[in-house]
Amino acid sequence: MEPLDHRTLVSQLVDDLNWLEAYSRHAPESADKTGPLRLAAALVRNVLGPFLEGQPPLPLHVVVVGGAGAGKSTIVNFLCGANVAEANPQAGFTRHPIAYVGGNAATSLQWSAHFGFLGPLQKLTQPAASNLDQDVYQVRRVPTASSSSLTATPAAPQALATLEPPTQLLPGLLDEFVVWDCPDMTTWASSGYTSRLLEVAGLADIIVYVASDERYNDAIPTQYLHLLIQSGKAVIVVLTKMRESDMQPLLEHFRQEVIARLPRLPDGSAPVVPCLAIPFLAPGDLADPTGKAAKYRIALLNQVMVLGDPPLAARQRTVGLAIKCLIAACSELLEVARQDLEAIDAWRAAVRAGRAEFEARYRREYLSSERFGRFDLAREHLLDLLELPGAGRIVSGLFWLARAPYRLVRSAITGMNRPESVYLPEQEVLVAAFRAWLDQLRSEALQRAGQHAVWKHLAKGFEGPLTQEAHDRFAQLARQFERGQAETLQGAPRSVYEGLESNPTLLNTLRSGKLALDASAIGAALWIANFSWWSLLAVPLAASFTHSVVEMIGSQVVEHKREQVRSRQQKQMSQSLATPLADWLCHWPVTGGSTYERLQLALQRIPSAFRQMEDALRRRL
Amino acid sequence: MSESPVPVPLPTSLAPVESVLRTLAPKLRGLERQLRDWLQARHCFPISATQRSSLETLADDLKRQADALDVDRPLLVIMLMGGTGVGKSTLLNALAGAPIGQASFTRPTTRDPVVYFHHSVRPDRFDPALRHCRLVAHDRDTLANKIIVDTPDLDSNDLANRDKLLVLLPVADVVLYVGSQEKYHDQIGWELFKQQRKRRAFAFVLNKWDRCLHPGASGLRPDEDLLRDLKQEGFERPRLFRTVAQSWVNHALQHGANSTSVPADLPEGEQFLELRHWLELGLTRLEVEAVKAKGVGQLLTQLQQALERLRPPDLTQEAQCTRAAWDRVLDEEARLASDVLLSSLDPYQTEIEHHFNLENQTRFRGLMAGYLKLMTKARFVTSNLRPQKVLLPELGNSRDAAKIPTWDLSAFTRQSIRAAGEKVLDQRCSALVNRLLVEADQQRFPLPLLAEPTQEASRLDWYERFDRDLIAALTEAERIVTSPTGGRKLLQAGVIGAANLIPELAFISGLGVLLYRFFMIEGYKAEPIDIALPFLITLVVLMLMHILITLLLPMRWRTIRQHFRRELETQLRNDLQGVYAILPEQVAQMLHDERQQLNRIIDEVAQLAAWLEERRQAADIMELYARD
Repeated sequence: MEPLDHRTLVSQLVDDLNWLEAYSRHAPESADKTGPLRLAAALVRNVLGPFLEGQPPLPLHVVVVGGAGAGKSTIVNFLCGANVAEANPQAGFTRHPIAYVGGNAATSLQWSAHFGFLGPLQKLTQPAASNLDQDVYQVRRVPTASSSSLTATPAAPQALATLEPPTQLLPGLLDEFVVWDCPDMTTWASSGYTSRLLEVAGLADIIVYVASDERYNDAIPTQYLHLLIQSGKAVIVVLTKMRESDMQPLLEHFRQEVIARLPRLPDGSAPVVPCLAIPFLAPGDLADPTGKAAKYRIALLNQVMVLGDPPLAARQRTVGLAIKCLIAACSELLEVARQDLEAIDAWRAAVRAGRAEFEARYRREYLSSERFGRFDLAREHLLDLLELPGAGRIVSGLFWLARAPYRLVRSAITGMNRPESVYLPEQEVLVAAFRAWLDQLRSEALQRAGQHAVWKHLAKGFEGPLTQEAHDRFAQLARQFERGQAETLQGAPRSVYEGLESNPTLLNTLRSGKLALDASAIGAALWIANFSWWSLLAVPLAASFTHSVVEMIGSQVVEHKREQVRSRQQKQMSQSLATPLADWLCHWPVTGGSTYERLQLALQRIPSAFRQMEDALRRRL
Repeated sequence: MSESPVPVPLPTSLAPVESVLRTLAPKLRGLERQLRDWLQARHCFPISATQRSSLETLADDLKRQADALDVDRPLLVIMLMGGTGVGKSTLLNALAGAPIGQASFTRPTTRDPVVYFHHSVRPDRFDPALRHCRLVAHDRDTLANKIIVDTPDLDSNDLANRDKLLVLLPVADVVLYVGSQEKYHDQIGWELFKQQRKRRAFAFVLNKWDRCLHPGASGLRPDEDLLRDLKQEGFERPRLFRTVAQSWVNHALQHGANSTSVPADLPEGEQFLELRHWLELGLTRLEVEAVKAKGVGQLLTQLQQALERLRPPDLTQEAQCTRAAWDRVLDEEARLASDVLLSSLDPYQTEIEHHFNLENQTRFRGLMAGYLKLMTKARFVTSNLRPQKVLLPELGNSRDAAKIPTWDLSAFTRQSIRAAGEKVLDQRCSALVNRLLVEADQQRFPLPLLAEPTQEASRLDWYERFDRDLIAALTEAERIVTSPTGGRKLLQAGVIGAANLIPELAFISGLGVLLYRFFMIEGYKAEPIDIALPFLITLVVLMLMHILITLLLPMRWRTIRQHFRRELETQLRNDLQGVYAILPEQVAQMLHDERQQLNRIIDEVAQLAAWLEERRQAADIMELYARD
């Protein structure tokens, strides 16, 4: 594949990944691959593509994820330094991602538009409640300390910012960051919107994973944590809601139970995941992130700052790890298609087995009993050629007379030979064998239709267009084959004697050789019999002997040619009939705009696209 | 669809319900046995592994229910189910008023299920699944016939806990679904609830109620949200308790288990007392019985549905269509196969003619027979037909056996079949199976049912069958030719009679003339030619008769080939149809039988369910009457 320019490359890759994701949704056994595929597409679309476009590193994206009710909104408020996200007791209230941007960052929020920012998610132009359950995202502006519009609620941060030194050390995180609040992934309704969560997670430079004391060892959130780590994201874990006295033991337990079991990064190192704990806070403390809860907030902000400074390095780290992780995970991502490919391979094996059988039948039923009658004529002609011409005819006639008893005996012997049994005409054999081939494939497809969708597709194909198309194709190829073969069949027998006819010297040499042989044999017989009555017996014997020798040689030549023609015909049949048919049948499931054609295309393109992208990124980094 | 987690108004009289429950036990056992027998039997109609395992689970449940009901006072098993950290163990501790279940900040906490039961109940009465749990006995008579089970979580990374829960769950009569503010409708628990809601009674607890009451929040309050979800799942008026179990545990620790006071810091709407009251007094013995009866009813409904999904289809129609289609295919096959066999037999026409000549000889006697024998021998020196050592076993018919006395016909038929078989027939055999299966599919006959028997039929010893058919056809063709009817029959009899008579007559009369001349005519001097004359005449007569026989009793291959071909085709067709064409109907018949069997079980289940329902209604009716 020739290198594409990076826009085409990115959009094609995103396309393929999206397609695979949609495809994996339909197969129950590959449902667990849907998430990783979506995240991969999001990484390419939201991080790698824009980076290749030369998007500036600022703003960085902090994405807050976690189970329902774990305290995501609290953490968003902590990050923003204001009560911007409403904490809500309804588990799974938030249904789409919400970005919180500061006054300055808002103006610099210029997305690279080529790849469709956040893919299928539409931006809401009007403010809406967080529980709007659609494929959308919204942006909320937050007035920060460094922005001029301080009139907006709440008023407290401003007052505190001037009062307490620690907040002054952290002037407006939102100048450099966009903070994203995400939906959960644990409630029963979440399967409808986890893709939105993954889309935004793909965008993230830093992920804050929030887990409450109830949830920190839960299976589903942990799966997502693994997924995010495997995609190369920088993750900060915040544990919430425990009693203050349990903070340290809980962190210990979490490190031991969850962090220690995280997957390795592609370079084999264990991921470094900073963990923080925020205890259960009274509503009053929660409402005041920069004041009463400042102690926990500052620890969090410090972690975010460490990971996000300097911004360019942070972005480069995000991009670099993302492509490494994608390449490492590539084969696993493509696993969705493994069963399909296996089924297609099984089909191909069946086609090939059928083809072998088809050729074997042609050989056994037709070729082995086909005598190619012209060769018998050619042999007669060859022997005729060796007889003497002109005046020599008289000598030949004499020899012929001498061989009369031999001819009688020979015809009696050949009469006892059984003729070749069961002769079937070529066309009949071909048609029957082809029908058997198709029937075998069809019954195989029918019997395995329950096993895999590919076989079902085939079984349906046999009921629909496949059978007719196959017959048409066969008829056409068989006609061509017949035409090609007619020429060779006429040419080959003639070639047996044509060489001699065109070469008089050789012919005459052979003729005189035969004459000499006959004459010397007869002479020898006469000499041995001493011209007695025995000569009458000896002379025909000798003449018969020499003649049978010559005949034998001639037959050998002809048989050899016949064998040659047979194998040539077998080869020709295989080349011009069986192979094209088998190829066509092999490829049938992946042609004609079927799902499997698209699948094959995606499988071929994705790995190479990853590699090309790595090259492009390496040049940039 | 309204489904209440706790039974509807209950009959005032206990007797009918209880007797129902006890009498139910043996019936359930009988049903279980029937179900297991059916599961073990071989079926033509395939049962998938999941279907089989779900049926086995149902059979286990039947047994379990039967055992649980076969007592004086059935025990009600109440099981706490929920995610880790929602406070199942805390709730049990609060109910017990003592720390009997582990409760701590680490997740997951409970790994071993706890069974809380009255000391009067002997643990060996428990279901086997409960016996390996941690057993805690108590002496609260209000909970006398109830067992409360605290289960491990269902959503933590420790997947073994989930498996433990799934083993315990079938024992439960009532599931107490425990949720917290965070987890009240988490996916894993919700899926499990949805899967079980048709099987057992459900009540709901929203623990950590204090956390659900954020002031000034938008969105639904968790209890309202949960009620809305439950409504979607068909619970119109679910029994939901809002609790703060931790407060009650702390309170009990401070004031002792039997304190009647109430914790001071309870939020508004806290319902722990109601939960306790419901468990202790609300679930009376009557309600227990009714829950049990309802549980059996649900189990029977499930069983009925599961069995109905397994009912094999009626394929009589398809089988007939398939048979018709197969007959066409098999006719064609018989035609082609007989062509092939015939052409493979052609090279052996010398042998066949030889055979017929030998046959023919047996009808002649005397001089004619001797002459024919001689001629046949001379003519067929090259024939491979040799005297047979053993009599053909295939020719069971004694008449036929007598007809072919000593000559081995099967040697060369076998030879020719082998030649044809290696070349053509083997492939045709497997191709035929595929052709038939494709045809069957086009008649909408489910292929998996037919594939196996058809393949099996194709693995029969077809060589031997062809061999038998060939010989039978030869014999039959010969019979047709040698025993004609009508005018030809007379002619034949005449010729044979003449041939048996005339040569001898000619010889005797020739000899008579010679003797007459020799004795009666004086001076007759017998020339050598005169002496040879009777023999010559006889010879000429024999030759003439031979020519006549050859003309009138045709025994040439060409003559019988057509008869033979027709016979062979019929034989082959009968053979093929006898093996293949009956298969679809056989399968359909087997399915029909299985259907009948299954119908019997389903009927039984339905009868039992109807019976149960009838008793329940009869009990309900009691309420309609005023008490005396």
